[in-house]
Amino acid sequence: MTKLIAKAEGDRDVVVTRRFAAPPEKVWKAITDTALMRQWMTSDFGALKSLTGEAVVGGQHHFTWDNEGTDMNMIATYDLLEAPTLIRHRESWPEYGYMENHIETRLIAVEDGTEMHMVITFANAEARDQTLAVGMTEGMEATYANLDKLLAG
Amino acid sequence: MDTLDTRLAALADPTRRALIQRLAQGEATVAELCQPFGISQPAISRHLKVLEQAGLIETRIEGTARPRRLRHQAIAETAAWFGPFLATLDARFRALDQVLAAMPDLPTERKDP
Repeated sequence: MTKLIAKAEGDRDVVVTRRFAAPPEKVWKAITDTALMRQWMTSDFGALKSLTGEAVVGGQHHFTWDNEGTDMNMIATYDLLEAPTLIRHRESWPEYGYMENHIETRLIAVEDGTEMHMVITFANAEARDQTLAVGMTEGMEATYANLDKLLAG
Repeated sequence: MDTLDTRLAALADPTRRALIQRLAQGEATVAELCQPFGISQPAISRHLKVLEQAGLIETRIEGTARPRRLRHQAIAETAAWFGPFLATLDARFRALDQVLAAMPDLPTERKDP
C-alpha cells in the first residue's frame, strides 16, 4: 500500500503515486506545516540543514540539504493551496541554474487513508531524461564503486 | 522480457550505462554512438541489443536510419528503484509515514463530539 509508483507521461512529466495511512487533512498538515516538514524532508540522500519560510500562496520555502559536505539548495514557490486537496508549486535549484520543476500535488481520500497523486513537470524533455536516466545510471556507478571498495577491503 | 531483473542485469555494465547517459541527451544512431566510446560497431550493437531486450531503449525506423532512443516508461520505473531523484522522494515519504503516525488526531478526525 505504501509503495511509490512512478510513471513517465508525455515529454516532460513524471507522475508519482503513493498512499498514506492517514486522512487527507492530516497529510495536508504534515506536508505544509514548516515544523512538521523539517521532520521528513530529510533522508540518507541528503540531511536537511535548514528549512525556512511558509506555505502560503505567493510564499516560499527555502531548503538546504547537506549533500556529502556541500550545500544543496531548493526554493519552493507556492502558486495555489486548496486545503486539504490541491497544491501547485514550483521548485527551483540554484545549483542547477535555477532549473524549475512545476509540481501539482493532489490528496484523494481513500478507504484506508490518502492517495497522493503528484505530477512533476520538468523544464523540458532533456531535463527529465537527465534527472531520471543519468541520475539512475550515476547512482548505479556509485553503488558499484562502493561494492568494489567493499570487495577489495 | 522487460522485468526489473532484466533491466538491472542490462545496466550492470559500465558501457551500457554510458550508452544510456548518451541517449539521455537525445536519440542517436549506432555510428554516432561508436564515436565517443572507441569500441567497434559490432560491440556497440551487442550492447544496444541487450538494452533493447531489457526494454530500456527502442529503435526508431526512419528510412534507412535506425536511431536508438530511451524508452521513458521503463527508465521511470527503473529510476523509481535506483535513481536518486525518486529514491530520495521514496525515503522522504517513508519518514512522512512516521510523522503521520506520531501526529495527534486533528479535530476533524474525532469520532465523538
